[in-house]
Amino acid sequence: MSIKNDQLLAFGSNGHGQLGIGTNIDVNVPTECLFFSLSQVKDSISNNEFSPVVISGGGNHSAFITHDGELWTSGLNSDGQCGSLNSNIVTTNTQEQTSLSTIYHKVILKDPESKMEIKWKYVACGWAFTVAITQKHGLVCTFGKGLHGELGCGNLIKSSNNQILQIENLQEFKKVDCGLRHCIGLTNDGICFGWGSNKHGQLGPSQKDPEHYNAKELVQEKLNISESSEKIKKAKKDECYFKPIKILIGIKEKIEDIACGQHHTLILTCTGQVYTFGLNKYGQLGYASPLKIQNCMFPKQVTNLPSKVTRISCGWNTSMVLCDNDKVLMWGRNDHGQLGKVNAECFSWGWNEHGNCGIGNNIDQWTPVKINISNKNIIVKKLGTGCGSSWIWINSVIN
Amino acid sequence: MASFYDEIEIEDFEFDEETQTYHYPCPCGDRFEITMTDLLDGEDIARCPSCSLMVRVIYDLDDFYDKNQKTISLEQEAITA
Repeated sequence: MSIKNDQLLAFGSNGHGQLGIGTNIDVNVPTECLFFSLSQVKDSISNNEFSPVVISGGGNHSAFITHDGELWTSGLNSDGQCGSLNSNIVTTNTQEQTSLSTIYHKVILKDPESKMEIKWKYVACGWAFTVAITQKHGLVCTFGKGLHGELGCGNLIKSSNNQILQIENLQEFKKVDCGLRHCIGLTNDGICFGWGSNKHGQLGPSQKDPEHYNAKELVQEKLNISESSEKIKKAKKDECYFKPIKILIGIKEKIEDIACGQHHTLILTCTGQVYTFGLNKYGQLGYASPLKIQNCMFPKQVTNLPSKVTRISCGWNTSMVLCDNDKVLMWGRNDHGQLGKVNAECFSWGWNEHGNCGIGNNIDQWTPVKINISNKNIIVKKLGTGCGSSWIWINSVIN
Repeated sequence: MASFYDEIEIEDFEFDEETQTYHYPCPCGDRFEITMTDLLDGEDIARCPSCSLMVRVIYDLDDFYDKNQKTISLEQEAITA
């Protein structure tokens, strides 16, 4: 048995070309991303191993990091969420598009001292912004638009203005994840930081440190809308942190992993326990009914899990964990069948209006359906998901 | 019967001055939208132009009406002046 023809395949929502397949049309079958097959890219990659290290999708854009630590983006760049316009671009001339169009941007940041291109180790896409971590020192960079503090660079910074911003005083980060309006980062030492909106408690307990806290400005804005006392009370709840705050979990264990849903956050400790906080409108916190608790800023442990947890992940209003007995458990919103019904392999399920399940139709899937790739024997090596878009990195196998 | 994907408070929407339209992200990548005129008419369903999802807008019509009527009358004054 030998392996050949590694491919990145994508499917789902593609209105702004975020799938990187050379068109702006949704697809419901796995379709090859052009990046890894274009000769101009292959030539530039000297070593043979070029599988993507991280794949992430945002509202209308996507990003991945190559084995060499290069960061590439595709899709909508109206707010600079794909990086600077001056960066290297990959263009293509496909049948569907008569003009030469940009499909991939390379995000380039140079070391101020050595003038060498900085290499990247992690990336996460938010709605209209991107957060990336450098290999050296684990610095955190952001670009795009974030009206709620998503860029993490201070009160006045709501757009990166076509630049790559670096969040002050953050280093030694290993991972970051984005919700709709908040970001959570994790350091090598197992400490969590968060920035962005805390309206639903998704950044944990409120911290009234004036350096970080920008609720005052927002309250002022809200007062102009209506001066009724009820509205003021409501506006006070609408907290945004424009600079990172340390998230107070109240436990001694190191944090092993993080995951963000639309308005909630999951945290995995090194002892395999899961803590959740934020919105609980659909039971996504996993320990109380939405009828009892609508949201909670205090991290609480999800009990009732049958064994230690090794991986965590979130959909928009769902949470899922992989236990060390290889069982997957999920909870939260289920109105499109997004919780599926158990079992492993490369299956997809849930909301499928844009073909984002990759199974050849656009019907919501209530039970997991195996993803088939045109008569090929494949091994799926890596997954990436966006809002309504999905990616799989595959090895094709010939016997 | 229409079923709503979610209920969203008006303060969570972004307002586009130019088109006088409120927007909120839809999971498909596009945005739910509802115009100021619709809201003033008491309409509370924001729709996504690219998919079937829609959300109900949570707002107080009276507050909203008072505030925006003021703006409109000021604008008219400005025009006549």
